[in-house]
Amino acid sequence: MGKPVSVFYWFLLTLGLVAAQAETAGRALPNWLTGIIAVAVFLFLVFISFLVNKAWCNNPSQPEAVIPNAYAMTNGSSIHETSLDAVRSGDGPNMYENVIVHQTEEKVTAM
Amino acid sequence: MENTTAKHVTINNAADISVIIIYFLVVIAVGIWSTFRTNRGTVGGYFLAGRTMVWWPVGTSLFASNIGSGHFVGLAGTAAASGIAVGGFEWNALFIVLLLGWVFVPVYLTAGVITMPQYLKKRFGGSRISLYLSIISLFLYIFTKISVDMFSGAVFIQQALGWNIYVAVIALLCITALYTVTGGLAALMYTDTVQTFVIIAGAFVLMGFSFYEVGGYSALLEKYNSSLPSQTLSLNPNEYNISQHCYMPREDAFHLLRDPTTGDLPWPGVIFGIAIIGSWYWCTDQVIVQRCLAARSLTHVKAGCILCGYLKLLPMFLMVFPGMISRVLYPDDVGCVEKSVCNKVCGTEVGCSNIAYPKLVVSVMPTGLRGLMLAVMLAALMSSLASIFNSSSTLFTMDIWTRIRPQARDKELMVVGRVWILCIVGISTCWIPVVQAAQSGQLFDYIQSVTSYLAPPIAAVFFLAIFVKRVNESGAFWGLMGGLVMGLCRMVPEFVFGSGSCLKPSNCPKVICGVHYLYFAILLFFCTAILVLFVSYNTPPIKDKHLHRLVFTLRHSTEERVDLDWEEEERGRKARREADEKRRAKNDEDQIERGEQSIMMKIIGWFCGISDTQAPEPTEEEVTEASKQLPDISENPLWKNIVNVNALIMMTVAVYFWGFYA
Repeated sequence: MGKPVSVFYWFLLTLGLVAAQAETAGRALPNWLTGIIAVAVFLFLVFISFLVNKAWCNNPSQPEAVIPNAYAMTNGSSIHETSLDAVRSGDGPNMYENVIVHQTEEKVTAM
Repeated sequence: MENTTAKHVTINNAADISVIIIYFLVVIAVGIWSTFRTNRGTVGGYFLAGRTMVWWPVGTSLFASNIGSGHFVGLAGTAAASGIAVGGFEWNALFIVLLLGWVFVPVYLTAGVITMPQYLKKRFGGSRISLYLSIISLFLYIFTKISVDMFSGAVFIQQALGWNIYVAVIALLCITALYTVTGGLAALMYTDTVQTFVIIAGAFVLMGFSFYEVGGYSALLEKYNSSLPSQTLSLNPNEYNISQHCYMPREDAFHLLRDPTTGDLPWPGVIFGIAIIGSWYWCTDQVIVQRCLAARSLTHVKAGCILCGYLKLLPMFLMVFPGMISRVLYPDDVGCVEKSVCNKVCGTEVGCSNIAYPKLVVSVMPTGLRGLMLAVMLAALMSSLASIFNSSSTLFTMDIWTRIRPQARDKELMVVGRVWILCIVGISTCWIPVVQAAQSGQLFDYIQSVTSYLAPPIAAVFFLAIFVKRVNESGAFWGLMGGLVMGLCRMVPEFVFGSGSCLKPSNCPKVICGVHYLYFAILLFFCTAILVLFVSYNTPPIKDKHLHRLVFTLRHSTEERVDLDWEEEERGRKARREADEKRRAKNDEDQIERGEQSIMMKIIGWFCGISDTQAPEPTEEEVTEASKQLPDISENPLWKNIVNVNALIMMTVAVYFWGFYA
């Protein structure tokens, strides 16, 4: 591969000068309609993400049932549980439940 | 237009002068009033306004420090040359400012930092990253923000008033420095509120007059495309020819989103490239973040960000459209293309679009309101310069001076901060001739292209520092260095070859300069991110105990954090304690001799708000006790929901406007 060839490829990659679209200025839709469409799409996306968030991330009825078990176990062992899986949150692989607050409560009930 | 022939119109009638005097009196009064509201004698009081600000000073201050005279000249000028796409720079910020309030500031607040380099030091440890960041920030302040603001202020003063630039700019710098030095951040933020009102009111008046002059919005749409200069043939055909696209208004002038390959601001660049540059400007830069850190609580920060977002909708109407109107009204002056004609109109050969806004002020405004417009320009110039002065002095004292003298106490830091402001004023003044000599066609493009070569690596490192726990010191450092080298590879040739003009394109090889600067910003951002991740995953990670409340996922963590920079802080505390003891011993000796300070010193001390008495350096126990008190980012659920809903409404409005002008 000669140098000119590679230079040519760079041209192709970076420039795209060949695009000779003489774009006409005419609008297919009136301004306000594109605005409304954009807003509709945006609100739809927000709605979807809201639903996804509700469905996957925090379901408020669940934690009461699950978390005490996990903490009872961590509290029961004399060594502090360091395995992150025990406190891993449903939010995502890198998120963890806040253990401290519950632990103190657990200690009181255990005694 | 009776004034088109007269180039300079001096403001010398009673109405104009009284408007300007009233403006100055109001600013000074507010400055003095706010000075007495806060304690300026401590680091927290001077640099963070005692963390007592409510939402409206935060929002207006964000807006006023963002909008400088560079916007009035640069934004309107670029708009006159190529249409509304440049407004995308403003409207992109609507979303970025929400990112600031909802993602970045909570982490900065829980980290308990004052400056951004300080945050990186806590997050990564070591001192080379924070040193690099403080130096490059100061560099960017001087070479992009301060010089551009001063240049455009000078253009305005030259065009509109015919004053001597040096006298005018030095006078302005002195006034600005005066209230920055005396007042601290609180005074800045309250005067910024006044400045915002002045800027918006004045710009609205000018917008009204210019739309009236051109005959309404629909007339602008019609006439812009036919606004051609009368002299379109080269007067010196042997040397150069003028091709048609240099003086014809662009066909897509009324579109925000333009063709990705042939447009002057291609749409992927306008959406993603500007978002990257914007997230550096709004989320990781000291000037902006410092204002948020001064707020009373996180809810106030968020509300301030929303207010700033709404205000950022305005520049499109207050500056971009008037710039285009200016071209319609004065096609021979603003739209000039022939070199000798341009030289006669504004003193530069490459084009005169920069004078679009000053030209409107001079020709359209009646007596009395011209003084108001001068006040507007002064407000914009002073508020953004003052913010930069304050923040650069914060950076210098907190990050560079404490490194040189770890034993420095509050009082010394206060003095150093104020002296540094005077130094910056000096450097800026020396910079005026350079800026004047390098007058180029489109100011706004110059700022944006320089920042898009230097800022994306910083944005990438901050993003990864906040979101990816795995990133460590060496990854961040080599990422920044690699990004800097890549950016310089592009920036240096462009400055050597010159950016060129339409008549005489620069002969910079296409391989280097062919990529649009916004595309380059995107490329640079992702290259840096990949480099950071690559190096980080090949070096040992930072343990969780060092990261509590420093990354986004651990922002609510209440565990104790072992600061990576505790050793250095401890050394500083020890040095300060020793210095304290030495001073006390010395004081006991010459108690009698000292007697009283000179009256002069007392006056200066009172003026700058430096108190003589100082709290003793906290002992070991007090420090550990203080570190147990966690910074509070909890919010009242009701208010939290209200600001969230407001943010959503603001985004909807923003999306509508994007769609409307797309």
